[in-house]
Amino acid sequence: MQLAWRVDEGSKVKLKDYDPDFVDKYTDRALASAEIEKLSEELGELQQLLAAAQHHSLLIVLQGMDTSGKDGTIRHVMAQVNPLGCEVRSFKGPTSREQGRDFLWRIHRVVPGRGMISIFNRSHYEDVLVVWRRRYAAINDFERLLSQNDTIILKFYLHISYEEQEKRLLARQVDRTKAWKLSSADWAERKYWNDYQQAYGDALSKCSTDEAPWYIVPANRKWYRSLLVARTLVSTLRPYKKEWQAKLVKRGEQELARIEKLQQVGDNPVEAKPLLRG
Amino acid sequence: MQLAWKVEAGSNVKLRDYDPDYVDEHSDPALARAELEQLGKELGELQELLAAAHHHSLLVVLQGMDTSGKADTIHQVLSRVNPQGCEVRSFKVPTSRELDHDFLWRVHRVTPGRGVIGIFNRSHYEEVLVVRVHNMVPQEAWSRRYAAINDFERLLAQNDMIILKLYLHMSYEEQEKRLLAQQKNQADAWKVTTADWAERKYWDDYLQAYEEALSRCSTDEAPWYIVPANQRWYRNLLVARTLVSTLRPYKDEWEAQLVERGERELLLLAQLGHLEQSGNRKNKSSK
Repeated sequence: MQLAWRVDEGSKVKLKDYDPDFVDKYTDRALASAEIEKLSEELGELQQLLAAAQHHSLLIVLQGMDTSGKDGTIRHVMAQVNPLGCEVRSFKGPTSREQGRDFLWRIHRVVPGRGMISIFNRSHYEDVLVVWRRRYAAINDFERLLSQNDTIILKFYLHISYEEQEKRLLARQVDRTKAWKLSSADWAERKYWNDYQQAYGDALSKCSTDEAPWYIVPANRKWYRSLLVARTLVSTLRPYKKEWQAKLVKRGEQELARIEKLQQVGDNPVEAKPLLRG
Repeated sequence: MQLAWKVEAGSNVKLRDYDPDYVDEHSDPALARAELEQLGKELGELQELLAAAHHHSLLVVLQGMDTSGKADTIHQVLSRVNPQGCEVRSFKVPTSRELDHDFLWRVHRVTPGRGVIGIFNRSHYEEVLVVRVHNMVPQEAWSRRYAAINDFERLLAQNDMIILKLYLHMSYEEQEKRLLAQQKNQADAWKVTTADWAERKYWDDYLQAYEEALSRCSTDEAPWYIVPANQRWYRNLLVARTLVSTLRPYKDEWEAQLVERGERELLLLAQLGHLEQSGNRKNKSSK
């Protein structure tokens, strides 16, 4: 089954080698929507286990150029997930309180606790797209800390083409219902397309690790993008299923044993009653 | 001038090589009081500059066995510092929400922002001290925390945090004296806990854990200092000296930043004034 393209640790990513239009030959739009339906149901079940087992947490980082579909992906893929156990975080321009600290301070505050899913709609990676170099190492250190604490980390780069972005920006201008999404900043940022592509290439190359891998998602077709994200998520979580279930069974047994004990203690006075009566 | 003993990066600390009773030959309690007074004043001035320049932050980590005088050191050395720019944080047993995260999560949240002094009365180092001594997590978990701590402190230092870590070094015998004294003195008796006597049984384990923490986590950007702490007055003096001598080199930089900012503001004001004047003139001529 075709998943998003995983960036192996230590590889050198050239984004132009990845086709944003890619669709695998076994998939078409109609099949995809049925499959997404199934996958997001499975995701909902996996999340329930994750929350109950209370051992791992899941961090999903979504990055991509403007209009690449970060919001749409969240909406389509996470539709069946219980919002009680899932937080979406977006990171705007830092407040002055945030600016007074290192760039990971505001990120660290909102990482998911055990049993939780957090989705970062944009993330600490913005801080290497726009700024410094030594931050790659700091990010790797940080993500290692999280993964050592049982956070499962998945990072998706939604890969659209320059032409596709233009289409989407223009579509927003045409469609009244989408016009609110418009911002002149999008057109301004578009001038830096090549710089961004290079910065993304660097970030994906330097910060894809075994414990926190990057995935490149061909994202020109929205339906295929959502499908690949869903597939990649589910196939990452599925191997944990047995472990979580085993934990729950064990905890259940412990609780049952405890209840039995309590009942035995509670039974004694009941047995004593007839004696008293007699 | 004698400072606290700095642990050089990469060195292998054996605490028995450091004398907790040490006092340098130029100091005595009376001289120390006067010097501490002076140093406290200078520290207050340096803090004002730190706060105004709003570029660096300062983190002071205080660690030491029970009764080694962490709270007292804060009280004696930092009493001249403006409390508005100084936060003291103690770390108790983690809450269940804190336990749901990595061990640095709750620490990172309370690190000082630019211009602020943060004092950690106990710290993330407990995660390789008490946690290690009492096997609260498996060895494989605590042993990788040293590297995580170094990574974390590097991140802070790269963000212009000045980091000082002080280990208050007291002897086993001195601790016994202090615990007994606390029990005798009604006014101090509230400090007494049976846990202190219980923890004392693990003294050697703690020393070993401290040695490893000091050896593995003393770095150029976040050095450990060993403070001989059997003599309270000398402990306070060395902490104050070490703090001041660490901050002093930044003084020129901070002052320069303030001067520069002042000039910029004056220039802005002058430009505004100029605009106002020309505006007035225009108004007059139009009348």
